[in-house]
Amino acid sequence: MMKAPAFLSNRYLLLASRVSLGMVFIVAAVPKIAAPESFAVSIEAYELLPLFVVNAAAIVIPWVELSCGLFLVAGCYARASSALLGALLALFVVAISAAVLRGLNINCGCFAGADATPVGWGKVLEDIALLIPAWLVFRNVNGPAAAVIESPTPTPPPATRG
Amino acid sequence: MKQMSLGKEIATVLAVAVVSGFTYNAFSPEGVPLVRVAPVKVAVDDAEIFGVPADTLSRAPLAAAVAAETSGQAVFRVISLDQMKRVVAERRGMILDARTPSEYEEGHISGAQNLYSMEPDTWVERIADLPRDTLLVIYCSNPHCPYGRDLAEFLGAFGFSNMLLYDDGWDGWSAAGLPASGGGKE
Repeated sequence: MMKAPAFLSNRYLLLASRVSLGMVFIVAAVPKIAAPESFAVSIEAYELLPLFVVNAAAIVIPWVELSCGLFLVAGCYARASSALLGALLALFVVAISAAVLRGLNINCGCFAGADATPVGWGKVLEDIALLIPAWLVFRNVNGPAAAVIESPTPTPPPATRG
Repeated sequence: MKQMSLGKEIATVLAVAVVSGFTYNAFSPEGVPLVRVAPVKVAVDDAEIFGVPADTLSRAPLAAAVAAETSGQAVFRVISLDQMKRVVAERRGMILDARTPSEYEEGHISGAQNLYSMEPDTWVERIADLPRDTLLVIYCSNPHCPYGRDLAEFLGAFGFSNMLLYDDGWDGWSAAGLPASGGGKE
């Protein structure tokens, strides 16, 4: 298997990835938690979920974002948090792409009330770009720079890797 | 220290999120019902809209919807394409486009104003001083689009009591080739 470039395990890059990804999702979650009805309207506008699960999604998704964001910033459960946020981002990419391809001109709902940006390929690219730090954090949790990713995890000796 | 498996870690984080979410929702004044119910839509008779002279219509109560109000759930009084054509032709009430500003710019029903339901801060001053019994005719893209119903609920909470929803919305209007503005047309 081809070895990944060394800079992808750079401790400062990983630290920045973990904290910035966490912050983005904390900022995204707070307005949705404050105004769940608005977020539910945004979800409904995508016309992807059956109506009866729209409110449950509007209740749970922002709390997944907030929990993962806080865990990432705090440096615990970083592997699970980055995996969950990666899965959410992939879901958003699919949902926004589907909306754009169907010609729906709807509010993205990405940052709820603070962001009334319509869906578009720019939003898809934003989410794909956010997948990069999520992937970096996920793949390095057990790597040599693990100490900057997950504080409670003991750092494995460098000799055990590669 | 033995590391937790990824599955267990994910389950833990999800449990924290789900429990926090539902607990917060239960106690928050902004909380939403766990299950979203389909909107109640009531067709409005011609007589109720056009049965009185245009200049007094906005003062006339529309009884059908009042009778249909049940258990506090929002009831939307829906009009057909033909009724909407007549509303526009006779310039009855205010026509409100609840879609996004970019959709409105691309094309809208002639004479409609854009009150994008998700951004009330941008237009609330425009309607603040209107008499609360002014006839407001709201439309969105199509019956699936939630912004029209969202706008009607917002305006209802604001005190407006005389609202109609043209449920087929812009899709129905433009498909019928009816008079439109925006997108280079006027």
